[in-house]
Amino acid sequence: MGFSLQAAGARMRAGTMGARDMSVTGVRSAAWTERHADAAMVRYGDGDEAAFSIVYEVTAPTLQRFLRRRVRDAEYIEDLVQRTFLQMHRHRARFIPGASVRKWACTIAVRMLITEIEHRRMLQRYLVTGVEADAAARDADPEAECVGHELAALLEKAIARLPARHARVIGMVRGEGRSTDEAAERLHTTPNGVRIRLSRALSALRKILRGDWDDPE
Amino acid sequence: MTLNDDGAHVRLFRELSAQPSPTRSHARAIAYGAMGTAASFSLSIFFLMGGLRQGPRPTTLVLLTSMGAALLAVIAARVAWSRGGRMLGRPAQALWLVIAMAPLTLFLWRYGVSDAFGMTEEWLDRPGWRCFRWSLAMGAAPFAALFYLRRDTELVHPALVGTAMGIAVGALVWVPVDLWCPVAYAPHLILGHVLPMLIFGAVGALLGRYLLVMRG
Repeated sequence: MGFSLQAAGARMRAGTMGARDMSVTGVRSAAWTERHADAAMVRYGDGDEAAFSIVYEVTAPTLQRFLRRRVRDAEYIEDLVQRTFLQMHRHRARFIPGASVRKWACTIAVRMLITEIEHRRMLQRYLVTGVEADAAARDADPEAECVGHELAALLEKAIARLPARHARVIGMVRGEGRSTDEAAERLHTTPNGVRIRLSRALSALRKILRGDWDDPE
Repeated sequence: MTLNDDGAHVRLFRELSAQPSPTRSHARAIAYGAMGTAASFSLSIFFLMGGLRQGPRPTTLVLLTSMGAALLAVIAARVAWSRGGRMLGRPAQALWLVIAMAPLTLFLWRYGVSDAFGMTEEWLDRPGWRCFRWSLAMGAAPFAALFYLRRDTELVHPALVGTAMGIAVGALVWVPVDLWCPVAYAPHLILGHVLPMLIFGAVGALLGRYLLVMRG
């Protein structure tokens, strides 16, 4: 397809918009474009596959702009946009004639973003409380494995920010899998002392991961 | 794949085409099929119970209570199940209104009208367990069908929608139970008629949180 709404938008802003932009598929006004997309979504819901290109032309740039204000990672934005279209496709029959396809798309994107954040928070809590993620489940789900790798890197960075005595106790007990007795012997303290130190270290780690840690240094 | 190049939508559409996606007419057929089956199931239970039982009630009372209940139930169902022409569904206030008012108005209607006919005396041998069981049995299929049809679709307040949907199912079930049950003694109404509605609402809230929410 030769026409791109983004390019037309750029030409409009630059004042170089030509006759091509006013063609049948071109931009007339924001309201016209939106109505055109809404009608196309209704047709797409009715089974007119060709209407998808109009929905895409109008909605994809809006979604990208919308997500760029909330997410920094460009690849992740593209992934979210594609997943939003997947949801719109799956639920196309539910689109109500007269509703706004752009608002619907943005709300779907936000909902997926929230779900993703909740999923990550849950995984963080899961890792930080020391329970090992189920390896079989991760093997079965490449996306979960990928998120797991990201979280492991995140965790490493967070541990590096901890005071040395906290990082050391986490490394011994959670990293090397030593018992509290063994750790106590190496750290020249009592097992109870190790437990207290570990509890404080994990609490500090959670704060770092939540982003409300005041670095004592 | 980047979304900015010109052929992006063609490639994306090719990927989407591989995913199942019913069109409007297909979805409507599925919805009618599921709800029709569920309604037949509930009606079968109603007739298994013995259908309409007038008992000592005057015909006017039966007509008044059941028609009033039907009207209230249809309003509750309409508000809770439809999205009011908005893609994001009804506002939370409307859903809260259904949740709070449907059990209350149905109870007050049945009790008030029956009281006017002097039919609210205590029935010691009818605490309400049979009505309770029948209500749950009759509502189970429509409840399951509704949640199946609405799964993975709610964007804004899935738990609230689930609760309102459950309460509306309970409200609709109230009507056949009302036709069958001649007892209007308040504790009986609360246990046998109102409590099942609240149970449907509570289960709806739980299921809504996990089943209705669109996860992507």
